Amino acid sequence: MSDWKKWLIPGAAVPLLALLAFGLTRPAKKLPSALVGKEAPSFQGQTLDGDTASLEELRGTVTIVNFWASWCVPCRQEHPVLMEADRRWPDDSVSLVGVVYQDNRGNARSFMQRHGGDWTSILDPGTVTAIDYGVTGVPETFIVGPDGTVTSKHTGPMSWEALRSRVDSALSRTARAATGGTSSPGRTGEGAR
Amino acid sequence: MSGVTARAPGVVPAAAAAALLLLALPATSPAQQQAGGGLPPDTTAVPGENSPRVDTLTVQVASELRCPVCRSQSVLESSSDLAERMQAVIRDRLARGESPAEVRAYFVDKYGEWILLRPEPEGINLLVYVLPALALVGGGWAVVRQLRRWSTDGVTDGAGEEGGASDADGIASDLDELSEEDREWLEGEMERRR
Repeated sequence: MSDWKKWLIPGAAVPLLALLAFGLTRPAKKLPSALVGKEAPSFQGQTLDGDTASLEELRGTVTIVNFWASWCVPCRQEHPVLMEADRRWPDDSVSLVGVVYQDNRGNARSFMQRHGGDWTSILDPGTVTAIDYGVTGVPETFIVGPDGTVTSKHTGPMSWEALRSRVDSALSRTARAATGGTSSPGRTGEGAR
Repeated sequence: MSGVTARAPGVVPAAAAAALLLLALPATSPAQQQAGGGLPPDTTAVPGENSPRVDTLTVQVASELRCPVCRSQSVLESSSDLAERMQAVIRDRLARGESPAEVRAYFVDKYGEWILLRPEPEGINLLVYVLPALALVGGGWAVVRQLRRWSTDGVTDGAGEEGGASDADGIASDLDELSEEDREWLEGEMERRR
């Protein structure tokens, strides 16, 4: 057998096996985020109190957009983290807005009354806003910079450390932009559900 | 009518074409149309919420998109709430006049390319389309080559006297390796069979 024939099968099999091995090391449920670095889709809707609110009203601050539902158990786990975020950061620099996912006003209001928190949550009839954000389930959280660009996305319940690092990153990017430094819409890692 | 028959032959088709053109034009004036006169609009020809064309395109696009909840099913097949809402969004966008390609692009923009059940054949995705074909061609070539080798070996093995001197030498060397007793038995057996 000539030399090239001897190496033909290993030469074809090794890269293929390496590719398969690489695929196995990646979490199957982790999906790339298509929205990071792009402009956050605008939305407007009724709040749990019946008022109207929109994302545009929060332009100028770092905004945490959290998709949640009262029937979602991980959302309950995550809720104290959002409570801490609402308490920790001043309203003029960081805003928090919830988008209610496939749920009704009554259940969502009961959830907020039971677990606390007075930040704005917007109803999403037809799941139109969630689809506009490429949401696959709840909870999912997007960090939107003051210029309206999505700076990061987290799938699944967030820890305080995960939220803080994402918000701090967006705040420091804002500060750099304000002082004339270069700001690039870098990607922050995405958590797995 | 006599005037028509009196015309030169080349004029008749021109007149007929003019008549057909007139028939093809709207029967009512724009003012009459605005007033609601004329024929009722053909709803099947205009994209609308319930038009059969939109229904067909909705099924087509929904069958090409992956359900984000089920992952292994299309938006059309999935019975999840999100898939149903996505179908409503697809229908709504098509009804507003977007093309199927534009609706697909919308979902790719929001979810990423994984939302397509069939990835676009470009860049690294080409491997998905090219590798199976290469494997088929390569595998077929290997099988044919091996079959040819086996058939050639068979002919050589069954060649008998046509095998040539090398085969005779091989048999002679095999006989040399036999013990005296075995060789006598073999020679006796061969003699008996003759």
